[in-house]
Amino acid sequence: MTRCGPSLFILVIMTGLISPAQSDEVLGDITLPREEATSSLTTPLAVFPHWKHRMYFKCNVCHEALFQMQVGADHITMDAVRDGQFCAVCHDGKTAFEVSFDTCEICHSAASAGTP
Amino acid sequence: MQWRRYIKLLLAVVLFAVVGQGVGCTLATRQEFMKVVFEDVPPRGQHKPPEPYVGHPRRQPVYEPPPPVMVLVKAYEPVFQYDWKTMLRALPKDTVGGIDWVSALADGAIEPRTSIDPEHAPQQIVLPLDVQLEPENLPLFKVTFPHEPHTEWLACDNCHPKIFTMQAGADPISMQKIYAGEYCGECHGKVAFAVATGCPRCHLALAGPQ
Repeated sequence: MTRCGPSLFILVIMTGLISPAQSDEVLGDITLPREEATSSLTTPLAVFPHWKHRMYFKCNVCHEALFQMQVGADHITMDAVRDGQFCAVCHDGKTAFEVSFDTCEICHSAASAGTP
Repeated sequence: MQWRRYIKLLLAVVLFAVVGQGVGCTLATRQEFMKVVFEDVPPRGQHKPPEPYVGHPRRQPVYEPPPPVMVLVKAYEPVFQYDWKTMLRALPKDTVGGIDWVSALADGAIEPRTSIDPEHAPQQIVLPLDVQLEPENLPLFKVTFPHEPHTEWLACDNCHPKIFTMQAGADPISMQKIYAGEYCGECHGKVAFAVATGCPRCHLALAGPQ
């Protein structure tokens, strides 16, 4: 039994009964770090899935007029997004879903919650 | 002494009425007498009490509740109608399971826009120029950089001149630097195909004889 343990495990994974952790992650998914240590805030970090955006927009639509091609180079805050900058240029309810209390968890979906 | 005359007259009238009522007259004469003072008095016995007024039955008080205060609440509509998992599965994959964006674009599996506004989307400027980069004495590792699939996605100023100078062989590109995230590694391994598993896509000779 001990010998066939690992192969059984692989078999279970292959049948799709369980999936290894982080299997949803696609190359280019960026979990945006939080700049200030906000101890009281437990909102999950925002994840930017590059691939979902690449299906509809070419790179040069956002880069580098809206976002620099470097994680952390832009000072992206929720206040700026609510002001209509950064994500909210498209996420305004017309081009893409609106930034509102109905849609928090679409972006703030990182598995690890809260502080950096 | 005018008011005295009035008082005398008033006393005379009162006396007349009291005497007329009190003095033992017959019923008929008293009636005639009363007509002087009172208007159309029915003779005694013929007097009918007025019929009691019967109005409508009292309405039951109707309680009308105040109209409910209308509060407009935006109905929650699921904003996400996309089945991302199925869409991810449908995208063409490369040999190691990553998304093959170049063939996805070529096959028409995706139609990415060139601007936010779909009405005024400019034409993507594609440059069909291959740049050969050959390390010294290593012809097997000669790199063919195709501008075409890169310009399908990117504009010139995304790479030039910040990441690459516009002169073939001018940049000291090495695999160490690419792994460290410089040059090709600015995108490859982060959003474009991985460096470690994508060897033959740049080093065409490593793919073996075609």
